[in-house]
Amino acid sequence: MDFRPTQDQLALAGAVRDVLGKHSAPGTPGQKAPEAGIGGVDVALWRDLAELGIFGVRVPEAGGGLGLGHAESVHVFEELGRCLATGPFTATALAAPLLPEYAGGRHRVGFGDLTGGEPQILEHLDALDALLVVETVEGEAPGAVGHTQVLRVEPIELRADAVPHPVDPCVPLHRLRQKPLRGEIVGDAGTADALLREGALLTAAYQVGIAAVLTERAVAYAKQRTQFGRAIGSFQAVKHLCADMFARAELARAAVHSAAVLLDDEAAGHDGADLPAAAAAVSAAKLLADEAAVTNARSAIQVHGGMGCTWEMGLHFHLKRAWALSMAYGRAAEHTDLISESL
Amino acid sequence: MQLRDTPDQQRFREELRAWLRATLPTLDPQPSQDDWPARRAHDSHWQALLHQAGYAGLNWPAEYGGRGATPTEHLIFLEESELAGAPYVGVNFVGLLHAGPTLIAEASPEQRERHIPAILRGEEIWCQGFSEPDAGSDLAALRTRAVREGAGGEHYVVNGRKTWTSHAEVADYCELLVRTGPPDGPKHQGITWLIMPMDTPGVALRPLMTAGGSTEFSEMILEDVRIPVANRVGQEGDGWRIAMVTFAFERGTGFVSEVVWARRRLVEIAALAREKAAWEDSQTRRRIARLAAEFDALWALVKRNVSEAEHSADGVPGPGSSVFKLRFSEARQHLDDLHAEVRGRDALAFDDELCTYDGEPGYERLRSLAYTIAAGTSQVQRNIIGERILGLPKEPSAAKGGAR
Ligand SMILES: Cc1cc2nc3c(=O)[nH]c(=O)nc-3n(C[C@H](O)[C@H](O)[C@H](O)COP(=O)(O)OP(=O)(O)OC[C@H]3O[C@@H](n4cnc5c(N)ncnc54)[C@H](O)[C@@H]3O)c2cc1C
Repeated sequence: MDFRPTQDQLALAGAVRDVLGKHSAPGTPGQKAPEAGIGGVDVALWRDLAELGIFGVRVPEAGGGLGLGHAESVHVFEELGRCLATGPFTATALAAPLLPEYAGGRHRVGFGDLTGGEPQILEHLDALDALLVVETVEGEAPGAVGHTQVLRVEPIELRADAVPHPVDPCVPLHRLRQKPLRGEIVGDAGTADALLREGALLTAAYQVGIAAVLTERAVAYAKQRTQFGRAIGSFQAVKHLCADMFARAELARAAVHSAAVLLDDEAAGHDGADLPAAAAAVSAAKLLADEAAVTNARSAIQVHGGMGCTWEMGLHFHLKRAWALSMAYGRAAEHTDLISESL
Repeated sequence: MQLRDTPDQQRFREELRAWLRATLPTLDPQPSQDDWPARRAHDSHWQALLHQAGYAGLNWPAEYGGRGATPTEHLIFLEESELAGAPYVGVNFVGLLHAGPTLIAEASPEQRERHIPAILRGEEIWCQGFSEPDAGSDLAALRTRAVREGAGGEHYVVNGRKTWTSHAEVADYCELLVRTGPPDGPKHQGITWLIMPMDTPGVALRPLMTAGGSTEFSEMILEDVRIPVANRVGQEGDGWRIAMVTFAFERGTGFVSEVVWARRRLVEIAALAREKAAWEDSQTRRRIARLAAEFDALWALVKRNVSEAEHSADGVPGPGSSVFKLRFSEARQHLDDLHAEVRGRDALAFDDELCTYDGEPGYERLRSLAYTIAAGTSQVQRNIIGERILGLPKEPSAAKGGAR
């Protein structure tokens, strides 16, 4: 056992961080606020990240990828979360091992989970080259059980209406007006499960990035802002908010790293590795990371006082993204149910 | 980043499992928490067995009778022992988990020679005389006085009052913090760390009953207790620094195996909930699952900390253990509350005889009240994270030195 990130993993994260640093992210203070409808994909950033190979992390080298595992992917996605990078990163990275033409990041792939009874809302639809959809097909005979499958759909063929005011102004949304969808079947129920599981892991890693960067921003502000003649960070009420933020992010990161390693071990067929245990670990990671991102966003706003509520300070972007992601790839109720099955 | 055993670790794990399988059935059942002589006999017997098998002081250097195992092997030991249901350190807690490691790090060769082998064999029980009625979180405010006396000043004469001294009733020795500097001098600089034999005249104990109804700890009254200067660890006035070493060990590994215990307990609670239809209540079911996620994450955090310790220069656990202590102690209390909820009114009906046994859920629920207090309260852990990890400024009034 050596659970420390390797030098290579840190180097990959560092390379992603460098690229992100060259592009302005919406969460940066003082950044000109995007108005509703003008968010969406930063094409230059997408291209630079694609060049680093972040979409093909898990695609074998022979297929044009980096030939690495989830343990590397989560480092990439934590960096994306730290900068609140906007775009269909998760879905494109999920699609690449399945459909190797996506490994290079030349195409943008979206994702829709249409199995539940949720309103069918899709992200970044106008910017997509392809859309993967998980859906449940009804049985033919009356009363027959349906089965789940993965479809590849041409975004251009979809009937959908743009949502005028998405809560996260950086992520354009469309409401789907069409069912059933037509497309090519690219996977069965097992593929669908894998996509949802891996999507949950990458999303959790992104949320850890949000939780961690917010801790840093709250701490920096608490050291610099003075009231009653002293730094507000010396007040315990503030200090303890920050300490809890730190503990939340650390615990969630440990959960994400452990889930990534367990999934990799399972994929490699190592002794003692099993899929239900790895799946439960992913659910635990998603649960804790969602909580960490959402709660840390609220705490960061609290530490910043009135400034925290302003558009300019930008902390609302983190909260909004954290909210949105906590509803993607399974929410708390679904993940706790999945964990409870393993108990 | 990986969690698999190396071939050496795998071998170590398998040998240990085989030994535990063979040895555990020979043990008597755990005595009641109130029966101190029986507890001492039980826990010491287990320690002696560990010693004979080469598992005592696993992570202590070989030159002091330990096995010189790596932090990872130590973790495997804690994990496997707990999974097999082996006894916990019990009354050996202080000796094995913090007094012993402190002696190894700070004591003279004679002092180590005198105490370390006996601690390892389970022949010497220690307690911790740090807290006082007026010095808890603000430990450096301690007032128990030690004055040099004798022809060549060869004794300290100690007067004062210690409190919450766990296991004092069975202890042979006490790690004692005393004030050797002037009472109104700088509070962190006048403290000294002494080894006090518990049978020294002038040591009186007044057992205190815990909320769980057992006598876990005592008040310790010290009246003209004469302690040889040769029993001092380190320099006079250097006791605060040494106490910090003690704490690093106490928080670093003291509670680790309890995560494994808690995770097993959660599976039992889930089984009980299924039996009692509480499982149908999605609220309860999800709270159980949420707690499973928390304990699994804590276990991952332990592995991260251990991996870092394995590659650090000094092997003294870092402040990261405060994150663990903070989250574990709160999760542990949720666990016991959840257990009570699933049991329903049974959780209110104690069987007098049984309610002070390790593992009895009513007893554990009351015992876990102390988790957010002992070894530094949750508020103190948050101060440590805020100040020592995040670098936030100290409270102005506490600016001259940290808390426990
Ligand atoms: C089961 C048990 C076993 C123990 N065993 C031992 C033992 O063997 N040997 C030993 O020496 N001690 C032992 N202790 C004592 C333990 O270390 C102290 O209880 C603990 O350090 C807290 O001190 P206190 O009880 O005086 O509480 P106080 O320090 O008076 O704290 C009371 C409350 O005030 C809060 N508080 C205090 N200072 C601050 C601050 N700076 N910022 C924010 N909040 C603050 C605390 O968090 C707490 O909520 C034991 C305690 C328990 C419960």
